[in-house]
Amino acid sequence: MIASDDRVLALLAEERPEAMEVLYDRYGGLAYSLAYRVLQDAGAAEDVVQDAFLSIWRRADSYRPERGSLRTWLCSIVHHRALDRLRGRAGRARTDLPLEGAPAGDGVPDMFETVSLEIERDHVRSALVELPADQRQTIELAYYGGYSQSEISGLLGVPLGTVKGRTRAALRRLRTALEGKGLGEVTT
Amino acid sequence: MTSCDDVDLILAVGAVSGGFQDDDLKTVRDHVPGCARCRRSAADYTATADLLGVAVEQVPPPAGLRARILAEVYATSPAGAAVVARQAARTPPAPSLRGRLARLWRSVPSGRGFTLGGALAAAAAVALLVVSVTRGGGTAPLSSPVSASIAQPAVQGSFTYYPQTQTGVLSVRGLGPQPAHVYEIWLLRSATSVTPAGFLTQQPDGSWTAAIHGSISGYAMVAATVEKPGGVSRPTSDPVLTASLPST
Repeated sequence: MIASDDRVLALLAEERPEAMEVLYDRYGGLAYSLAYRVLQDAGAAEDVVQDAFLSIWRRADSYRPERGSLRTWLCSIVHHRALDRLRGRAGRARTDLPLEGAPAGDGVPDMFETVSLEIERDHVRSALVELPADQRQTIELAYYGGYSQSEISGLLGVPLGTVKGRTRAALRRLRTALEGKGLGEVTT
Repeated sequence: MTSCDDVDLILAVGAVSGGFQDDDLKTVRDHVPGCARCRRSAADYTATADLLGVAVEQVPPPAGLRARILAEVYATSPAGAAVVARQAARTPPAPSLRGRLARLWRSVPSGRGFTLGGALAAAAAVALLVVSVTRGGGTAPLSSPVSASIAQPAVQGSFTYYPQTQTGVLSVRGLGPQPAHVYEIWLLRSATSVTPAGFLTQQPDGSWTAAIHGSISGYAMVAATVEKPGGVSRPTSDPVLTASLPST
C-alpha cells in the first residue's frame, strides 16, 4: 500500500484496519526499538508496542498535528508507555498542554516518509553527539534510560538542580540544532 | 508566585521524563495556560523531546508482533463486525452440497495433495504441530499456508488463527481482480458441511484479506470461490484457493 502518513491518518479516522498494517510496516520497527531501548526487555517491549498501536487504532482522533508528525506521535506514545511500564505505574500526567500551532503535513508520497525518517534519525543522532558530554549523558539517562531526575542525581553524584539544568540546556541545544535542520519547528 | 523561569525548567524536565510530578503538574496547570511564553516553551520542549525517539538503534521486532496487533485490529474493526453479522444471518448449507464439495476439494491441484483425504491428513499434521505449540498455554497464533488453484496459480498467503481472540485472518497475494464479482470465503467441516464465512477484501497494496471471527474448532479447511456480489449461501464455482485449518 502506498500512502503518505497523512493518508494513513485519514484511513485511521475512517476506521480502516489496513491503515494499521501500513502504520506497523512503516514504524513498527522504530516503535519496538524505542520500547526495547527503554525497557531492555523483549517481552515488555512487545507488550508496550502492542498497547501503543492499539491505542492509536482506538483513538486515532486524538492525534494533534501541532504535536508533530505521525511517527513522533507514535514515539511519544511508546515512550510514555515504556516509562509507565518501567516505573510500574498506571499512568502519569501527560505534557498535553495547549501548544502553539505548527504546520500539518502536506500529503507527501510514501517513499518520502521512509527517506525522511532516515534523514531525521541522522539529524537527531548528530545533534545528540554534538551535545556536551554531561548534557548528552543526562538526556540519555532520562529519555532512553527512563531514569528520574532524582535517580540521575544519585547516579552521577551531582545536585538535583544541576541535573535539571543540564536537561534544559540539552533540550535547548537540541532544539536549536534540529530547527536548523528543519525539524521540530513550532510556529506561532 | 512561580516565575516563568521556574516553570520553564519544569517543562523541560517534564518533556524528557514523559510527564510531571504531582506538585509540578499543579504549577504547570496554574501557570502555563495564561502565559504565552511558557506555552511556547512547552511546545518547543515537547516537539524536541518527541524527536529523540527516532534516533534509537534499530532492533527487529518479534515476528509474531505484527500478527498479534493486526488480529486485534481486525477483530475490533467495523469490517470485522460485518463479517460476524453476515455469518450469523446465513443459513447453513443443505446436505445436497456433497457433489459440489467433492468437486471443490478435487479441483485443487493434485500435485499439492489436496484431495479430501490429503487435506484431512494435512490438517492432522497441523494438529500434531498445534499440540506441541499449545502445551504452553494455547494462545500462540496458529498458521497454515494457502494453496493456489489451477485457475489462479500465483496465489500465495496464509491463514492465521489467534486462539485468544478466536479470530482468523486469511491474507492472500497474487489473487487477480474479479470485476462484478466477489471472493467469498467458506469454512468446510466435512464433505457435507460448508459454511459461508465472509469475503476477501482487496487492500490498496493489491493483497486480499478477510477476518473470520469465532472458533474454528471442527472445521478442516478454508476456501474461497468467485461469486456474485453480495455472496451466495453455497459455492457455485471451483475454489481459487484453499488452506488447511489448524486444530484448536
